[in-house]
This record gives sequence, structure tokens and C-alpha cells, in this order.
Amino acid sequence: MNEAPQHRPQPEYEDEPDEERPLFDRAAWFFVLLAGASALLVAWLEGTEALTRAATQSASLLITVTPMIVVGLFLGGLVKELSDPERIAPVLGARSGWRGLVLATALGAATPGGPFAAFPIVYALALAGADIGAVVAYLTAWSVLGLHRLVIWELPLLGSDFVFARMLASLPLPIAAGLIARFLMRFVPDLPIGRTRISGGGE
Amino acid sequence: MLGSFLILLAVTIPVAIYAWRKDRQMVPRATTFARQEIMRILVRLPFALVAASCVSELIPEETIAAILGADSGLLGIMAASVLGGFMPGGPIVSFPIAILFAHQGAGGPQVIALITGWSVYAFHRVISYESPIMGWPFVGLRLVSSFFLPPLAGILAGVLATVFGLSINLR
Repeated sequence: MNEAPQHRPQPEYEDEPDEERPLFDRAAWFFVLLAGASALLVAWLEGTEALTRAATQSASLLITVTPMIVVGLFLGGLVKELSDPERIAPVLGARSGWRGLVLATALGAATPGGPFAAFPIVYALALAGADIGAVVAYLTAWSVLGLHRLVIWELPLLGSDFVFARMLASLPLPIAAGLIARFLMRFVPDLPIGRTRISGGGE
Repeated sequence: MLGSFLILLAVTIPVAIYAWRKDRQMVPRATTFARQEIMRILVRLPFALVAASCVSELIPEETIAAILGADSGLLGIMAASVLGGFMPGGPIVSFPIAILFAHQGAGGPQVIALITGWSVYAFHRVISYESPIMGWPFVGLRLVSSFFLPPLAGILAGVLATVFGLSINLR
């Protein structure tokens, strides 16, 4: 599976150990500038009363969300520790069928953190031999179903009816995407992913 | 809000006990992961929330209701899906914006299409993470396999809300 020539540079995420990224990095400054600019714009266009309203709203959101983030990320860290791509990938192989798609969906939904945490796992799954449908289902479930986002943001701020309808409507989606990806792979000779290739063109 | 926090605790505690019994090192490693992420988020969150609140303050409620309101129907669901794909950044800005839209008159199915569009199309994530790590061929295959998901999520949620009598329109 890994005999394909190395035709592109290594993905760069490995050069980014968490400890070495400064806390107040460029992305943080971006938010500071965005907040400053939009606050000025609100004050200028809508007056200081609107600015006060926005500030109050931000403060109440902050108070609601912070405790959820603290516990949610601890839970995320535990799930990350408990799920090891090397061990999971064989179960998600080319012949894993429906069960593989359902399992990939469940694992994706449970995977915490942003793209810098999830994509290394997705890439590791593909490297370790997971089937393309499972990889697509995993990625879709992580982004659409993401349980950590659900508990941190949606449940407290949008209510349980909303969350229930959204989750029920979204549950089949990663599996549908995985099935279509499997189907499409029949028409693709092979698909390069980083330094590996997933072969297509049917069985 | 307290209810969701208690649910979260009720899920976390058994998982922590399970992990601790499986391998004593897992809990400290999870704590380290959480601490790093929390510090990073807490530095950005206040600014992100101010930005989100100001953005929703700048867009008139009538505009939100006209484009994404409950009466905007299928067209509104489509518009929300595409708009979601172009929302920048992680959940830290996008979720507050979606939530504030919901409270300012966007319909439930439209907000669901918006959130799903943000998570499935995620053009910012494609450019900064997915294409460098997975390559464009994979990105293409994934987008073709899932381009219909956001509108479908909105439509399905609307149907489910009617069937189960759920109130998903917050205004």
C-alpha cells in the first residue's frame, strides 16, 4: 500500500507541536482586530447603545460557554486517548461494509477538537488502510455531528428540540456521503492521499 | 444551561473512570490536552464573541428574517447552506453567529442548513488543512460525495420538527 512514489512533500502538521505554538499567535491577533474593527463599526453606525448591547450579549455567551468548554475539552481529551487510529483502521478496511461506515460515523462524532486535531487522525486512518467510504464518513461525522460542539454550543444556547431535530436529520448524512464516495471510487483508478494511495476501479 | 452542564458531567465522569482503570496515564494526558486547548480558546473566545455579536448587530434583523426566515422555505435553506460554507474560522465565531441569527429570526431548518454548510463545505478548512494534508483529489471526492448534505439536513429537520412537534424556530 505504501509503495507509491513520494510525489508531494510531507504534510506540514507534524512540524507544529502544540507546546511550541505561542498562546497569542496570529489567529488570536486576527480575532482581536476583528473584534476591534466590528466594535468601532457598530459604535459608528448604530451608536454606543448598540455597542453596549453587543458587549452584554458577548459577556453572557462567555459565561454560558466557558464551563462547557472546560469539561467538554477534558472529555475530548479522554476520547482522543481511548481511540487509536492504528487499532481502529483495520476494522474500517475495504470490506468493512455497513458496519465500517456506522463505526466510522460514531468515531468521527466522538472526535474532539479542531481541524489540527482531527486531520492527523483522518490521515492516519487512510495511511493505516481504512476504506475511502469510512474516511469520508469519519470526516463528515466529525464536522457535522461533532458531539463536543453540540454540548458546548447548541444544547445550552439553542435548546433540546433544536438539537434533537438537527441530530436526527444529520445522523444518516455521513453514511450517505461514505456510500457515495465508495461508489465514485469505482470510476477513479486510484486516489493519492498524502504519501499513500487508495486504489479504486472496483474490486 | 445548568441542565446541559450536568448532562456533560454525567457523560464525562464514567468515561474518565473507564479510562483511568484502563491506563493510569490516560487521564493526565487528557488533562494536558484539555489545558492546552482551553488556554488557546480562552485567549481568543472573548474577542471572537464580541466580533460575532457586533456582526449580528450590524446585519438588520429584517434582512436575516427575509433571507433566512422560517418563511424563506427551500430557497432560504439553499442560501443558508452556501452562506455556511463561506463562514470563516472554527466554531468559536461561526456558532455564535448561527445562534445569534437563530435568535434574530432565522428559521430552524435554515439555521441547521447554515451549521451543516459550515461543517461540510468549510471552504476555509479545505484551504488551510484539508488540501495540504489530504490533497485536492480527496477534497474533490469528498465534496462531490457530500454537496447535497446541508440542504438535505435542513429539509429533513423541518420534516422531523413537524412530525414530532418540535419547536426549532427560536423566534
